[in-house]
Amino acid sequence: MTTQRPRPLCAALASLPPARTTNKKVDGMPEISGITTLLRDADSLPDTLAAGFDAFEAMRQLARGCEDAVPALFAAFMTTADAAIDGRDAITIAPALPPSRAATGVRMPQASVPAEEIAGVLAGLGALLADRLSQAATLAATTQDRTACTEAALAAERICQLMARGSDDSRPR
Amino acid sequence: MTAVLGDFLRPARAHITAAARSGSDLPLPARRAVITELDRLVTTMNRYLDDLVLPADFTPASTADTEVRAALDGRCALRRAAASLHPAAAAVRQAGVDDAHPAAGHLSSANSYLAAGRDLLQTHFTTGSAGSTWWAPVITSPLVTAALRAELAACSRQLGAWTAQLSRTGSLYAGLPAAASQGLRDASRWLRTAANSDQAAHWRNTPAPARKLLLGIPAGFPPPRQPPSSAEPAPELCAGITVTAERLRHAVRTFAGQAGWSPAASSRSWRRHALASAITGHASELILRSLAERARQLDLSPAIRAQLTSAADDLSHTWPAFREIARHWDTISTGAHRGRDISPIASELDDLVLRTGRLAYDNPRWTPDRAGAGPARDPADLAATVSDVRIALGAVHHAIDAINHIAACDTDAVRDAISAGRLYLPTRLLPEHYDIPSPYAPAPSALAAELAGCYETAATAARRAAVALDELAVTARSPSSTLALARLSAGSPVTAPQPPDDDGRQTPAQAAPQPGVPQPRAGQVEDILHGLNITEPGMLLRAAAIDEATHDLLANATVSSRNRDSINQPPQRKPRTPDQAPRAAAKDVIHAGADTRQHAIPAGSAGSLNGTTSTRPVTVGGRSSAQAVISPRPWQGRARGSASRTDSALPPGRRLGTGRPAG
Repeated sequence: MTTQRPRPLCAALASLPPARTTNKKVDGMPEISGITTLLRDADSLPDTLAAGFDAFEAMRQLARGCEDAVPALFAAFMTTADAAIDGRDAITIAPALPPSRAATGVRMPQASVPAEEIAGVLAGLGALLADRLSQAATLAATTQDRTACTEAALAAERICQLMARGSDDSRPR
Repeated sequence: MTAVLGDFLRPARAHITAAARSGSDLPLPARRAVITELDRLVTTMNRYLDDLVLPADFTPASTADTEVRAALDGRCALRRAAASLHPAAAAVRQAGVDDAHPAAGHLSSANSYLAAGRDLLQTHFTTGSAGSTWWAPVITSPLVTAALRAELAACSRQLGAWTAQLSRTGSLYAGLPAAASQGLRDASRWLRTAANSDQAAHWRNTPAPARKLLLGIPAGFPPPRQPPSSAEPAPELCAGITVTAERLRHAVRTFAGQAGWSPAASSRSWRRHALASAITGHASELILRSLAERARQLDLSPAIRAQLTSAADDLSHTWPAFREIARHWDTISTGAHRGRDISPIASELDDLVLRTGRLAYDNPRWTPDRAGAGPARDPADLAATVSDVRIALGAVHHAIDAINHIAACDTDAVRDAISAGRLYLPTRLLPEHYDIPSPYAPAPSALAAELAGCYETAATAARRAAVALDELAVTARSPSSTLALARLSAGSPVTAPQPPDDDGRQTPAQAAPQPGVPQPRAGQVEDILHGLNITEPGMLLRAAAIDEATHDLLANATVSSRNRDSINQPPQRKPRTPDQAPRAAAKDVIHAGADTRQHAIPAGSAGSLNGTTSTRPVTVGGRSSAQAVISPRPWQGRARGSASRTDSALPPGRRLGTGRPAG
């Protein structure tokens, strides 16, 4: 295993490649695209944490909205929402989180959008979030921030696993 | 699987039966060994009945209820049987015994099984923070108590008949000491009396399911965890769900005792509970609908099919209630809690979710994620036969019962958290005009009340579903019908077993006599009745009970008197004679207290206490007249002079043991 030298946060985050699935636009979910952009454009730990908070909150709301869409996916969406709360709560107590308010709530997608497609978007966003937060954890100055980023990254990784479709790897490459 | 009481009671009965089949023609050494083992066995049986907390022998409650009266009579008779066997065993102790004889071996094994069964019952009664198990009120219920008494009565019946044979041959030809033969004869009589006293009272009132419930009582500790494997077939999944549910019930008990201080008593744990309960309920509904379809295919009775559908409908209201709780926890939390403390319930629930999901869906590796999603399991694959239907139904029954316990526990815990002001909201989710410089703000009381309401709703829905499954399990004769019986019977506790004790140690109910304290001679009333040629077992039993109460009261009174003497009297005081102690006790008893109720004292007893033969009512402060009448020689000289006077012949208010105030 090679150890990376610490890099400036903005440079480290900017160097991350964009997530594959988060590039696609889903009708009725412009907020997700906006959150994805915010997350990708965050160039400081506070900005990453703030964007991460909003991302988890958006994922929670999306997952809750899809729980009844497909009975077979009930457990998956329920568990995803739970993982999103874990991630959001982890970020909430990070000292570096700016005291601003969260973004407004996510507008639920149109009914015509299949739950499978939403699951794909959640998997992609989870993967991007996990990568960004893991990277942020290595650059955090305080233990509390590092712990918050690590725990939130784990929650995002869990969302990615929950919403991934088997062999479909949603990780950013 | 967890050991159940039946694992011990059944072999005990079998060994007693085998011993009784040995007949009476035993060699002398074997006969001695049998007497020794009988002494131990009857003592153990007696301990079962000593665990029952019954009203005092002479209170109105003891005579008003035939069940209670029968229990008291049975206990008294068994005590007498044990007391008769003690000298018999002592008489043969010095002589050579043949422990290897099968009859002695069977009795020894029966004693071991019965002792182990009693230990199993005691595991449900603990004094720690976790408290007693949820089986404790079942064990102390009238239904199970009656079944236990019936079981012991059956043992007494077998032993009584056999010991009668042994005593007949033994006393004349076998060379046993006279004390041993006499003790065996007395024990036989009391054992048969014990069997008959119980039989008369509750033979009609002990339903067959009560015995099933008694034998199905599990040990009071959780079974070992069985981690889910990747490809468990349906029967193994059902068995695993049953084990997990039992572990969950124990985890609930443990966690409930920690809810006030444990770091795991947090929104994180409660949220997980709600999540897992919702998923388990969702999968369980799916299983029940599949079972309903399978029941139709197998042409099961319309009642079972209807109840399956009805139970599934009940579940369709249950899991949304838990989902609503989970949604409330989306924003509410118990604040910043570092670490990954999670309740033991949440850990167990992971297993339950996996197994119910794998039973519901057609994927042996099902997990609650998108990749594991699939169609529901084919009904024929879920339950190939009628027996499989029952087993799968039992698994769902156990799962929902566990969720019912969790809901009740969490409802209380969350209510406490609300009362303590432990609920918060993330400040970032609040509107801009809230200026709170910390990550969390107190949750509005309306939101907290809403959460509490959600818990009430979910707990009610879970209880309703569990009760519906109770009825279904009984109708379908599912293995889980024990749960239904247990829930039905856990209503009015009448007993409270005491901590287990080793052989020979005194239980609290049988206080050890103080050394040097003069012990009054017991058995006088019984002797009087024998002298009157009274042979009615009921009267003899009550006479024996009176003698025992006399013994206990005077022992306590003597100790009390001695203690008072040691405090108040100078050391040079002249020693008291034994007959002074009862008089001192009488002073204690007769002193009027704040309560000035009028009680009638039987003539003889009043005379013995006051040195007169007055029959006028006296005031007994706060004590029953039955307690007040007890004295070492209350009826000496009087009963013999009035041979025709029996219990029933006494006027109201003067009957032995009624304890009723004068009219």
